Amino acid sequence: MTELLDGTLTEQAAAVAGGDADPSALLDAALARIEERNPSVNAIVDTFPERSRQMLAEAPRGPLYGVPVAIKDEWPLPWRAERLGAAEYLGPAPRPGESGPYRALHDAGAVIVGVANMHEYGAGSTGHISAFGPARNPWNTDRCPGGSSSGPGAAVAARLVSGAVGADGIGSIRYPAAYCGLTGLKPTFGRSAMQGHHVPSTTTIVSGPMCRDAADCRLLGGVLFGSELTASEPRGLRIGVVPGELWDDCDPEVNAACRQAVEILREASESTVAEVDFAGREHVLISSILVGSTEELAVATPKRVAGLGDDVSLIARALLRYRLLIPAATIAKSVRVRSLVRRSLAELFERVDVLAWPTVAAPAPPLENPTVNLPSGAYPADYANPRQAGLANLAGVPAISLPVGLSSEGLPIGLQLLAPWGRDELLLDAAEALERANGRQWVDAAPPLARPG
Amino acid sequence: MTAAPEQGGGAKAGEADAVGRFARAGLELLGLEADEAEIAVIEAADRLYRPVIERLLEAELDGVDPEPGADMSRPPA
Repeated sequence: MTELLDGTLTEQAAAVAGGDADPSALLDAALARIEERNPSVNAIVDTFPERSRQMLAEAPRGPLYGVPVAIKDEWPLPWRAERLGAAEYLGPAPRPGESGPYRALHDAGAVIVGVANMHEYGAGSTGHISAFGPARNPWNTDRCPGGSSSGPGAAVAARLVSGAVGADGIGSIRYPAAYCGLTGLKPTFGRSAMQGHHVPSTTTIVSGPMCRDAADCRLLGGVLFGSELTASEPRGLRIGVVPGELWDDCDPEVNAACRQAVEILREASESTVAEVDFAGREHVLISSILVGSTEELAVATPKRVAGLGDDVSLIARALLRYRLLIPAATIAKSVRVRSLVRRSLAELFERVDVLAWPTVAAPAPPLENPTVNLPSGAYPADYANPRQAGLANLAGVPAISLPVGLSSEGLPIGLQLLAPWGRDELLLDAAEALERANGRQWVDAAPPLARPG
Repeated sequence: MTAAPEQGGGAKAGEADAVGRFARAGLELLGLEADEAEIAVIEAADRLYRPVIERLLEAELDGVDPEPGADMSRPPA
């Protein structure tokens, strides 16, 4: 059963459906793997074996029948309210319940084996701050796993589970996918299950799959979408690359690996590559943060911020105060930037099928000091990352991060592809084409702690 | 704001003092206190974000038509 636990989500689902694997034994193996390996990565913050066994006993014969999965600490379950990686709630305390992602997993026959860690309040791209303690990157446990879906990323990379549900409001699926060497899909806004989320009026956050490869994201994504994501062979793609800081202000190893991956994709799919640009690019970093945080932190009134105790991190307490001092005009301007980039992207996607640039500008930074060194200087990763990933949330378009290499320090490198609204399947098609052209070298690479023997 | 500001770009001490005074006064008006550690984080965050916020405020965007009731799942109408 250990071998199957190391397999992909697709392999696990096929083995159970075909009668080649006992789902009860697979569940027990997953729980044992979590007990054995989770202390190294702190990816899973809660398990509930009896609830998991009950889910299996009642599971319908859906596409994920009997397959163990994890879910980020961002949605309620019928037996557990979300904690958001925090010691205190900013708004009213949530209650247990049936969230959209829970219902989708349940109806697909999946078995939730654990709740996965996340960056405190979802307000960080590193995962180094959480009331449960930081999640750790399985490729190097002194490094950040990425956030805010830190636990789903670390759990899948450490082979605790082969698929997990994350959430992405300003890149929170794609950062951990890139840092942990996974494939992570940020769906088109509104396409994936979101009911029960603590920001019901969001216009940026989506649920999405975090898996080892694109086929698994297609499977788990289809469950979250409530419809099968069909595969096609991508041929003659028009790939757009945006010159400037999205490429040039990246770690040289990241730049080189991503450029090589784009070239491999171009050759494999008989595609073309052209330099393109979009309006408002210079304001994406701050606008994505302002729009996202305004929605996510709408409940953070002065009175509630004042009531937060020392069990909430210093960074969160201080930045919640700073946010209250931001001029309102910047929010209005950010909304204008949003309109500007959406219109510009709509025009651009008449001329290109996908856009490509590195998911993050540098590999996973140290947990102790999550700073990245870029050609333009040293910055907190949280400052640099939204520049790369914020556009998809600001515009509502889908984006995917897929592994395309390892740095000289043995840390994963991720390439990001973006597509027009509703073309999520095209991203999966392109990612699969690149995987095949690479001989699955990067999607099958396992971090040291997950290698057999 | 999401950054964990541990480094920033060379603001002058006077500017940091001004940010600290502004933060304390603004927070006081909101009925909030901030300790020295929190003010230090706010100053560091401001060193990082102030330039991009100022560029945003200076950007000429009046000609950009808003999208009232925009559906983010689709391209703009």
